[in-house]
Amino acid sequence: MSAPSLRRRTGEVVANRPVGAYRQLSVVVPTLPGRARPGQFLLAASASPDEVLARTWWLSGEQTEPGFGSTLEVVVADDVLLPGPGEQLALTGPVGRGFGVPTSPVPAVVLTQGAAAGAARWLAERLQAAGCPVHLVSAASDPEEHLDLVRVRRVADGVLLTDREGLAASTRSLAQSVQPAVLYAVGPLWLSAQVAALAGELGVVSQVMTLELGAPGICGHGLCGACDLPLAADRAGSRVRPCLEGPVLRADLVAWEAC
Amino acid sequence: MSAVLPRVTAATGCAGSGRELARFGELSALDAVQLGPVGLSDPAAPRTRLIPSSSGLVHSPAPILPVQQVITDLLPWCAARGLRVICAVRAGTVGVLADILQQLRRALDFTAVIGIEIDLAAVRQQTRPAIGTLPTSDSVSSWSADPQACLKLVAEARELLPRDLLLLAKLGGECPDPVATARAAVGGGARALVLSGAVPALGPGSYLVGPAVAPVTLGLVRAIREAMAAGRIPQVPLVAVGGVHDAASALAARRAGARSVQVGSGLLGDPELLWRLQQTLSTVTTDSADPDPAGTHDPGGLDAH
Repeated sequence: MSAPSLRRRTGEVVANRPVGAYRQLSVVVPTLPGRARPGQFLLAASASPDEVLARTWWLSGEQTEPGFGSTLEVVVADDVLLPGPGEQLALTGPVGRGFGVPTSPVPAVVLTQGAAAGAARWLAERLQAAGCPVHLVSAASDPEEHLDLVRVRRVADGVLLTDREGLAASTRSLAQSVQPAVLYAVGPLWLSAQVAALAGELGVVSQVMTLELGAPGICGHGLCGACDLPLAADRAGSRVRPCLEGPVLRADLVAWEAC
Repeated sequence: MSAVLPRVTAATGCAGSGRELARFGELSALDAVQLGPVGLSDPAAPRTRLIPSSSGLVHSPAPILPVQQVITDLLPWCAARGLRVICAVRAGTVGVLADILQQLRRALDFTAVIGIEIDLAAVRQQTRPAIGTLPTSDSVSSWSADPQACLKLVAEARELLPRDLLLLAKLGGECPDPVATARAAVGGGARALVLSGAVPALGPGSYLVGPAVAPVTLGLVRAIREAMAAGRIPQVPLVAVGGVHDAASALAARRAGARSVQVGSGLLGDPELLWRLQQTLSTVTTDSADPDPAGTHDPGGLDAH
């Protein structure tokens, strides 16, 4: 733990293309020491000296080729300050603890919203590779915000499109037919809180994101304490720091009503 | 134990509990690790918020590190790695400060502590005897608004701590009369002043920090330096905090008369800055204008009695 493990490194952007309402960046960095996991994130140096904080992005794919380096993919909200192909980008990461994949093949439901859908798609691919039947639930108010459905449909057994209001009801009816053993929430905090409630209701395990990446006011380095969440039940009174100990946590550990 | 001021540390509340920072570099390469704000735990404390603004950041008070956690967990962790620690203490009353310092002093690993920083920008609670169910304390204003209260607070800390332990007092942009407050703090026994350029913003307890406030910090450092040159404040080393975000701004603070710097929001954007600044400041020779480079001078013979 005390050996420095996170260093800022310079990568080269090789692609910057539109995906629905978002943009997908591919960045080549020197070979990573280990494999990255869905649920981890990247810290990108701020684009202009006007910005104090680094940008936090969900990692939505990683591919390492010996002798070439690692290609990291991120899906981010559209922004004029994103670097174009050929430009350099200083990155720290992958940071944090990613989603765990079940050791035996059990049905899983992945719920997602917004730019985090890139990470959800990657998680679905990992689950499918582990033999788990996967269903994906995507919540969005605008059709453009459902990310790249063609690629998701290739890996998922079912894709359910809904909006924020209909999320709980459609997940409940899906759970009746699928009987999932685990729920994954890949998205903002409100989604994690809803999934925590649903998992408690259905009596299943859940893993959720506890960090609102991409939102303003997140340092991502674990230094500021703005992302701290209160812990539930017998750990009540103490707090967890998602950018250090997360961002993926079991949903029943967090006291969502106190957030 | 030497009382030499570290060249660069993190600002209070911007270094987490030390472990977060250890992911980005070797802590033992630093002059000191800042732990803080150390206080009594308050479960009802509002959540810390960061609001980015152009060239700056508005923050509400950083989460408190409960003194029990510091004693049982963080100090042993630092001591086992041979790190030098500065504890930044935040208290609302003199009694609370005394309580925290006594607990810290009794800690087995207090030998790792090379300095205590008292936060004079913290909100002061006015206490009165309990009458029935009436509350016994009110928030009045910050300590630094009342030089006499600062004198009492710092003197209490000085009395409770070993004589050779470095005592720093932090005062900032909320201060109506920085010279009077600085004089009171040094009179109370502070051996270094931390001058913060953080500007009150958006609401009570919130401050604007970041590159935008660098000129405020420089102005404060110059004003205190001039007051020292005029003999209105005893000569003590100064630490600049606020707006230090790269080597150039750290050197500007040195030229203005600060012996060392603290980095706050600069770390939130890039924690490796701390090691780069350590490198830069250790290669720069000590400013010849600084009358007491070793930090061993006894201001006005205050320790003589």
